[in-house]
Amino acid sequence: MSAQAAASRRVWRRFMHHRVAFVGGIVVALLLSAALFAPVLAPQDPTLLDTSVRFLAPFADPRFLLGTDELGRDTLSRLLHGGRVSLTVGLVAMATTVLTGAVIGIAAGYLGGVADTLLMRFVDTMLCFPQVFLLLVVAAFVPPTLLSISLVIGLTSWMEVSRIVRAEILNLKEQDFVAAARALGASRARIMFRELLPNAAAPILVAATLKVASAVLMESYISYLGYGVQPPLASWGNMLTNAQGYFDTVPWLAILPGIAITATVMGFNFLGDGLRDALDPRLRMDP
Amino acid sequence: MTIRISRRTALAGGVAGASLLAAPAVWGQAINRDRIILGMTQEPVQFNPILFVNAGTENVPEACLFDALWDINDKGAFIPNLAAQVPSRQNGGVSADGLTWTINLKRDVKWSDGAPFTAKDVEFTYQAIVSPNTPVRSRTGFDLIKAFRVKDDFTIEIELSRQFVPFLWAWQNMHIIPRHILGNEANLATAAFNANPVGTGPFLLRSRTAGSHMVYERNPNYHRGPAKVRQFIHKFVPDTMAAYGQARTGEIDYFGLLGVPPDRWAEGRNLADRDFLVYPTPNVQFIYYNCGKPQFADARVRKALTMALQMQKSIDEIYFGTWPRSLSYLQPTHWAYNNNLKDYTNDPAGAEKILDEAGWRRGANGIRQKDGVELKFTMSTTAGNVARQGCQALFQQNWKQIGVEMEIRNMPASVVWGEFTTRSQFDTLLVAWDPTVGLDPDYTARAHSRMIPVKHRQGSNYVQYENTEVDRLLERGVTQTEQADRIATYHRIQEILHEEVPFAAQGGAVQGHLKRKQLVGPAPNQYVTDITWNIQDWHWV
Repeated sequence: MSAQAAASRRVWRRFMHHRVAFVGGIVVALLLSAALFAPVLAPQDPTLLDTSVRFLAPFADPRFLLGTDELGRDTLSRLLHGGRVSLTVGLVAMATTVLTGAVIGIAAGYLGGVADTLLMRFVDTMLCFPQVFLLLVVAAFVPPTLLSISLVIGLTSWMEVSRIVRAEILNLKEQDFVAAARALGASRARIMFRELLPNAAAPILVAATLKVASAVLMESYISYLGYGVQPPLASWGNMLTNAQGYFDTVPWLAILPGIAITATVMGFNFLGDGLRDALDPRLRMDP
Repeated sequence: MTIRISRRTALAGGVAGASLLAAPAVWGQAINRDRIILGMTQEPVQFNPILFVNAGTENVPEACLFDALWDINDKGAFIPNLAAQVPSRQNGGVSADGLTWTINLKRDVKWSDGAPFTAKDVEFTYQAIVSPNTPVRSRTGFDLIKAFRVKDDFTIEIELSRQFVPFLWAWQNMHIIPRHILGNEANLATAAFNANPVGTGPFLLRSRTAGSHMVYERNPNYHRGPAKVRQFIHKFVPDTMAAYGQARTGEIDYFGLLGVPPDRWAEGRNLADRDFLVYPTPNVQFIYYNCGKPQFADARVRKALTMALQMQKSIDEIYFGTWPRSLSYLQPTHWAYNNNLKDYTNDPAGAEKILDEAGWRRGANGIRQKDGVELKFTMSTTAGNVARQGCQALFQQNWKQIGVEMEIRNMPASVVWGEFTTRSQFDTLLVAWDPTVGLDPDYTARAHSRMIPVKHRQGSNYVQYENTEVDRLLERGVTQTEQADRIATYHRIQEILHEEVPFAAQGGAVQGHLKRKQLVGPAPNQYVTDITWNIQDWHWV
């Protein structure tokens, strides 16, 4: 067995023994597959309205397992289809955030000097603007589609990740293995992305899982302001927004998407926790 | 120590908790008889009454701070305000041919800075309105003035180039601004006055906290007698449900403008210690079809699109039947409303037949098309308006059935009603509007071909509708003095609009306002967009 295979087996074993992470992984897997198979699983068309059956409570009618909303649309179908939108936005925005943040953070941290100063001042500038404001400015110029919303959210929230990564790299680049790589004649790019990046994986992963959660919420903000996912397309964010007018009379309309968002956030966080523990080469805590 | 909770206690607690949630609680917050708090979801931002006004919202500072020559009360009668009497043929104010109007002004009126109010101020207001540099909301009526003569400090004589019956309406909607302050201002639109106004009205602006509230103190020298309450507070609560909650708890004394959401009317009517006012407005809600876009150039298409919609259902189910269905631009209770119009909506089969005949056939993707143009468009309105979004979802479903694709693209109010509307950039809008000259049935500003702002830099014909017969009728309608003649003219106009559908009427907007029982004065007035039209009379009992 090669050393690499042994290493990945060790990571897998550690991950599987991390109970919380295991649960998180299952929750995320369930949510993702529910979203993936939404067209098959959803009992109704999520935009089909029938005002004769509005505000049905969950489990009150076998045709509408989780009840109906203010226009008589099936809540279960909307949750499933909304999950596709929200999770796509969450994952794509997370990927954008992490990619941009990590590249800028590593470059700034490792290259130092002028590059560091320029990049970090750019980050400062971006951080000066409240994110919602930044989002609205960009969104005003870009017509709202699923991809554009995800990218816009991703491109306005990578700054924290780049700060975290830079700090980590500043610490790592003074260590012996970097000096060793440099002595062996490794190129800058190789050192940055093959040596430093895996060692900085832990904070990046944690940041990434948190970003999924905040992107799902961010989508709901901009939907509320009219720049997000347009009605009648469901997303968990706009389901929650629509439910606020009925919070005292029909609370489940808010509770159900709320549960979905909470499950996503917690699932990804637990998963991130476990991945960090399993991947971090510095944590030698084999069971 | 351990706390033990018996099942019974838990149950009781649960029941109490549940009833707290369920019962529409009204707490007896004490009334401060020195002030009245009016709550609304929108906020006024400019206070010059002749500039463009966000109707309903900016009418409040307008009514508090300024006066018109005459007002219209809730019975539809004109009552003198700055004028000593409303001119008529009987009192000699209007000449026999209807072309010369003489207006006598009150003599004891002062601006809030102490300067006397005179005929020069009215003349100045007129000049500002007709000046091409002033972005005024409407010039209808004022553009017919041939000569404006100041006979003495308190007498004006106006000569019209032709008869214009709604002339009284034009002036009741136009508040007088001070010449001694604005006379030397190069640009009215950017004058400091717009944020720091001086008027003749019943209240003075004491302070303004942007995003929160405005405080007014009564004007002790008001020419109609000082207001009955010392202080008036205009408070802004953007979220409808939060505002409704504050009206229930008594944090605001009167919740007006958009008011109680339609699904809460039943609850609102039954609140102890509160009056629920059903408030008719001059507004009718429409679907606006932009006739300048290739999809909507053909009147048959516009009619077919309208036929496919479940309009009655949208009112019954989404507005909970609180609105009357209207088939024209007037509320169905209006004296000029054409009751002979037939509701042809909710007829998808008929719609499909017309579209087939007009050459719009379903393509491979199921969407109708003709000459390379797909019957596919967007519909925009204020984002976050739950009822309008519900209507959009319903219409989208109706249109999908007949092979028409509509995409919802909503935006914040300031964006959607800005250039997007005024420069006719939209495909379709869902929008509620009033006739522009008070409640006169004249509709020149919104339907005359000369009133297309992208072509003629004036008017509000945002749908870019052009019809020579409608033009001719609109021009005739404002010169007819006999009501029966006018009814015939406006019935014909409504008939043509009903067939050609540049805008498809949905229903007449009605609002549900909530006020404390002890607050007296607020009275539904369907002739104005201003809920504070009689603010000087509001008081506590």
